[in-house]
Amino acid sequence: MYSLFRFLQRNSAFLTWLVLAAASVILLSQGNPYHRSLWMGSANQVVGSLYESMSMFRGYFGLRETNEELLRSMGVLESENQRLRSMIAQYEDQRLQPVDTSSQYHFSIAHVVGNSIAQAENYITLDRGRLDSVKVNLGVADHNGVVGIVAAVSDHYALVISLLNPKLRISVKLKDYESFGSLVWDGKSCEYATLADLPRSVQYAPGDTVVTSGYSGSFPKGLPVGTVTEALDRDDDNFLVLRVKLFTDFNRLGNVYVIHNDKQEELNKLENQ
Amino acid sequence: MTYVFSFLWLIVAVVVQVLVFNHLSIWGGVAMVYVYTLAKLPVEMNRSLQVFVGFLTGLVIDIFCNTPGMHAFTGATTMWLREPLLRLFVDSEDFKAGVPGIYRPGFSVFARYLLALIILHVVVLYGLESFSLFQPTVLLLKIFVSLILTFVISLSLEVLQRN
Repeated sequence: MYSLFRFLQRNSAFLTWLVLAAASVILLSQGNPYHRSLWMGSANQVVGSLYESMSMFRGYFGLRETNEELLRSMGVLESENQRLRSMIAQYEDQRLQPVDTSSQYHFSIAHVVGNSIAQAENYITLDRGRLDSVKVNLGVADHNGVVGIVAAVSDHYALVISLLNPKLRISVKLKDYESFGSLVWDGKSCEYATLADLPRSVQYAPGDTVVTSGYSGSFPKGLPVGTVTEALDRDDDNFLVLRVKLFTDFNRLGNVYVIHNDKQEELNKLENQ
Repeated sequence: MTYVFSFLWLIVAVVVQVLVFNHLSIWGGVAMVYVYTLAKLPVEMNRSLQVFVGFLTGLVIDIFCNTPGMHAFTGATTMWLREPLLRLFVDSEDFKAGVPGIYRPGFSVFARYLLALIILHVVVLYGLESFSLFQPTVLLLKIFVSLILTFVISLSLEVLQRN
């Protein structure tokens, strides 16, 4: 008994390390952000509010660029809006009946309060949570393109898996084709991702636009993601692997849209049956 | 009293780390200033307590970075190996108690001890990170950049503090 006590005393530092290292490994092995405790991430109330007050301070820098970008994208949207309006009017004239223009998707605004691009798995913290009807699995985009998907929510904050996270795969397609593939980050640069599982039959050219396929329900069909830059050589004969330059500038994320889908629950229920 | 000051500095370092330094990355590498404050804990502190402090520091950073367990494991390991690392450069007769610094046990000893501790920390941390995504070039670049940044900033802080 005495020698056991001596042993424990002499090796107490090692034993403490062993216990704490084991605890860390348990935490590390809970890799799935959907199953993690909210307290283990930046979307909890304490960290969220700290990040929020810091981002208020940071928000004043780069306001001019943000405004320019927003105005530019508003210009593009406005001209597209005009074109669609005239198309709808033309269509209604021909058919003599109103067209149903309501959408199952709604956009709400959120602000990025926490963001990382340097880690192997990156996450984004938003200042909107459960009380703002943000839910797990909703898509997040900014005025340039896709940003990520909500993984966890607290009352006032949401944790988003960034597109710069190998745990996230989103279903995308080339703008002019119906065949789809999946987009995943390769960990090298915050400007590029990899489009895999695209059938060899697809004819692509550098500069082609990559958009969301709309199959997951988190994103509407046709939301911009990036442009194709080149094909990557892989030992896979049946599928193409393309390098994609992302539209979203993850270095300067500020204001984003959370995308609500009225039919998401219905879709989930059907898929889980 | 030294303990209280050490812990206060550690808290300040962690706050600055998560709110400032974590957002300034060069090629994916980040300066880890909290390692400097861990290196400056009094050597006579109970070693189990040191391991626990390292773990707790890491855990707080993990929560901010959404990397559960990664910094906690690294912090605990760094603090467990701190004593043997320090003893590589100065034996316990010459430096029994107090806070290691450039005057005691001396500039070159402190610099080598600090460098060894930072290498240990950075290699364990990015080694763990590469389990989720292994990119050898990215990994080496991150280790190298982090190591240089952390070492230069830590040593500058030390020199500034003593002047």
